[in-house]
Amino acid sequence: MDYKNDQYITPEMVSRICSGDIIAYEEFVRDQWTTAVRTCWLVLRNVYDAEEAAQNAFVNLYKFRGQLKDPDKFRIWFYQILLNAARQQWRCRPNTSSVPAIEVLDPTDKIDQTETRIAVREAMCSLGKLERIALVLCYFCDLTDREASIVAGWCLGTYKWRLAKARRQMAKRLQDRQALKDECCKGANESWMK
Amino acid sequence: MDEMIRQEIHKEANRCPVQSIPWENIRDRALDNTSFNTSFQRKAIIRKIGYGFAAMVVIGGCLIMSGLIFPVIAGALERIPVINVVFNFVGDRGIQNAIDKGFSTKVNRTATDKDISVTITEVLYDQGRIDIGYTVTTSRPDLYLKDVWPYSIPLLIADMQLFIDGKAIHATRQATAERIENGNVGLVEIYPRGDLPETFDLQIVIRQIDNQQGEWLLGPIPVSRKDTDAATRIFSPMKTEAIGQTIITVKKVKITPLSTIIDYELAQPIADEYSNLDFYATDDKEHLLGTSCGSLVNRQIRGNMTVSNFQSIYESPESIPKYLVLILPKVGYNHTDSQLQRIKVPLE
Repeated sequence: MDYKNDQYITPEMVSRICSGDIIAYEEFVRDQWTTAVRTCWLVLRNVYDAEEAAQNAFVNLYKFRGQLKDPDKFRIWFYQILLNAARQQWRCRPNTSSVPAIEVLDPTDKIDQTETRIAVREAMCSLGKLERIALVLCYFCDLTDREASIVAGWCLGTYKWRLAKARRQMAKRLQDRQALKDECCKGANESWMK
Repeated sequence: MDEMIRQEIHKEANRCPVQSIPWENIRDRALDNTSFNTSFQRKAIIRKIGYGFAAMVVIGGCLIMSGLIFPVIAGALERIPVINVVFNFVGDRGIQNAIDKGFSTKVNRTATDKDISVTITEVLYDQGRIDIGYTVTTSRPDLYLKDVWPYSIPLLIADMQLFIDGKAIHATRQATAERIENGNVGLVEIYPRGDLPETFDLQIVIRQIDNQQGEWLLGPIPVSRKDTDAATRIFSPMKTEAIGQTIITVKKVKITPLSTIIDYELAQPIADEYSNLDFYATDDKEHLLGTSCGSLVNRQIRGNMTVSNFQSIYESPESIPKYLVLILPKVGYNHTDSQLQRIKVPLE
């Protein structure tokens, strides 16, 4: 599955945004709003904070539009601003624990899918903030490792280190869940055979 | 597994309930220069260093290694300075400067257990940090082939203890590593709290690598900063600037072969929330000095002001500059333009 958006934004659009064209800016905001909120949400795990961070990021993007030195790096630049906004939001309420999200079951979900969903959610929440950022930049934002390290403001090796830790932890959770599921299936089959 | 994680994260993200776009609000704020200046400056000034710099990573366990298990790998490692290898992806110019000028100390001490070898290859030490280059290798395919994802690093050191002259030290650490054929090669940076002796014996104890419990004892390794101290320049610029109601005084700048160490004081009204500055530093040629670490040294109340002393460590410049420029606030990597406050700190 290819999640990359090659037509993320055209050079012409970048040029218009950087020159202060409010129409182009609105188009960009509307196009990227959902992705921006979800990126922040994956990091912050709180939808209100995520929307606040995304809003701040779009505002900062417009205010600092004159500082983009290389239009080809608009995407990295935007993610830098977005991640900084998320971090700022985190700092404002670092010790705030949100009320656990209520699991709304999708009627089309199978039990197996629901279990996976819960396992992923638990795994994400169990990661440290830095590991979560690495994971989100790699898998959700689809940035290359070098791009992601620039966006996060880390050395490339540091990024790789954190990503490796996060992946290991995430994989372990998913594998444990799979093993448990296999065990249950085996148990059910044996009991049926008896 | 890699693709599975990707898919699950995308599915997870899709479950985030996104409300309608508050476009009017975004547009009004984006076009409102007044509120921008106020809030921007306030937010810019009020930043965390404690958190931010600590976020440089405190990876509670790291490393050591090496392997003379595969003769080919061992031979290669003998020819390639490990810190140099790691530097290539760490990108710390300070380390490169120090290596170029011959300040790294070859160590090559190896400990082996559970068929896993840890070798300390090199050490760099100055008044700001200790850099330890290492390799971890094994002949066991069940360990080094366990993770074959593109970014995976096998044989991560999970638990490492450091002793200086027999005493355990607690310090902020930053670790980076890169995969090699049968293990990893890495660099650990240690930012000690307080002054360390000019020379000491370093001992490293590792109890766990990956999921393997064992014991890897390395040392004593004689470490000295005599050479780097001799090449260190110390300046006392006592440069003071006011930023809003915050007063920053740059008290001392030390430039070592590895690091640029800046001691500064922040005086802020007590009523303000806990705050600190998070700034960039450039040399007189506008080369950005990469940030390594920062920490709060002390804090006290004077009248109606909170006075805090911080120390920030950056990589060293290529040569002693005539001045440094501190740039704040930190909005993004490429943002170093006119709206940012610049403090020129002469070094004379």
